[in-house]
Amino acid sequence: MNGIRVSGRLIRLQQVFADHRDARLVPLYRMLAADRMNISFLYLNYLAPARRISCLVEPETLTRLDDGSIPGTGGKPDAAAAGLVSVFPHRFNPAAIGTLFRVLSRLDFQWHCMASSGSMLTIVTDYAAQKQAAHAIARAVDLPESHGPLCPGQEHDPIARSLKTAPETVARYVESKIRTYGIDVYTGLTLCSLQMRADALGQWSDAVSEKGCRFLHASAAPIGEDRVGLDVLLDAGDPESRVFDVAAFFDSNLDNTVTVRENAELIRFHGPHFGDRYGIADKALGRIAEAGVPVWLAGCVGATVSIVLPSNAAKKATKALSAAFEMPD
Amino acid sequence: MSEKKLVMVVDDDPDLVEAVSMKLESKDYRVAKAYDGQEAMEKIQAEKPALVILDVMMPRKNGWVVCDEIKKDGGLKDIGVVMLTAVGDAVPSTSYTHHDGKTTLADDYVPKPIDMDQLVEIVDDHLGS
Repeated sequence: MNGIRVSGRLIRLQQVFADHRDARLVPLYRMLAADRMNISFLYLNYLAPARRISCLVEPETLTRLDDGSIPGTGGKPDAAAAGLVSVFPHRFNPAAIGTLFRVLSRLDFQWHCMASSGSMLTIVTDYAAQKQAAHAIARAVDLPESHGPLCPGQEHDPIARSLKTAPETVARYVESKIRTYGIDVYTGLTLCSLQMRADALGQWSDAVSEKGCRFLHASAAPIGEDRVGLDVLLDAGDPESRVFDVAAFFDSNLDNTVTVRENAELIRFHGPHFGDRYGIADKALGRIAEAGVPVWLAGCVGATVSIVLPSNAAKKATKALSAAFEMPD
Repeated sequence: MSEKKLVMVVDDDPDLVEAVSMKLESKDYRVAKAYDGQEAMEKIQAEKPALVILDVMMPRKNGWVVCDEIKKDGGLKDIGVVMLTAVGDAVPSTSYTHHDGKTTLADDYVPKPIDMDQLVEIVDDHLGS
């Protein structure tokens, strides 16, 4: 790891529901897109019994929302000031997840969810705890001396910062199809859904790393009583090794819950300024839903969208995405 | 068998660094990565890449300064520099790019958002691949 980024103050909106197939339910990302509200971070979990979508938005955009206008958000949205802490690069090494969970297990601060991108692991904390989290993680990952957590306002040097606000450097996008830098599709993966203490997840991640596995997507959220639900998509390499056999790894601890789903698939793509543009998540997840393809998990972190699907779904999903997104060879 | 040439990718968007790196690695280049200008200079001095793909707006040290430092250093000046300039297709004015970018003595310029295939072509051209 050699970098940590800290976001400015954001607002966390959350939608929890029993059945996402309920036609009356409008997903949170769609409501935000309809109001032209950019999503800075998205965590979606349709595998958990209580399905959940968490989105972080800029505080200014909240003025467009009336309190209570989002079904299932559970209260006033302005009550949830939150921040992001991103650590990178993870190099697809599960040990990076282990390091993060060991920190989270030791500290007394509230975090809400985590999702990965192609290079970052990003957690959502209460805004009040964000800097504490960033500095704790910085100590744990042993950053180079010159690479302390980068906070808002420090992103660019003064010349670059002035250019960023100059009119000629503000790109405006008018695209018949949304441009991407390419769409990566991975099949034959193993999705491990674990529910256990954060420190135990750290041990498991280290063990998987030592076996030479790499992960392609990870997302997590606390599930109460110091326990965490982690969904991690592994490229297990040699299936005979069964390195992801977490039940055997933790068979002495009956509190641990483990579900392994074989042949999971992942679509991951990244595009220009995806992190600063509204409607990207809605275009992606909406097209896939319209095509009747079930989504298990999704994450939008920085400028990257990751979507985890069941077996034999990626091809159909990719075709659906091609209606909205440019698909370079 | 010829040794793979080393390309350094420098951008403050870690996911873009990863995406560009994967593309270049698929074209048989070795890739080094840096996420800000200061880290880039440290790694350029240590690893002496054949080419640097360099973002402009970055933390700690911007891309123009990095480019100038490379080109004014006798030991580094032969390293090719391709600047990534954040000017979108729909932006009518590119005055800052023309005025400030050209004074940095970069070897080439690629507009952002990046066209990956165009970027690979430019890398191939500069490295004679």
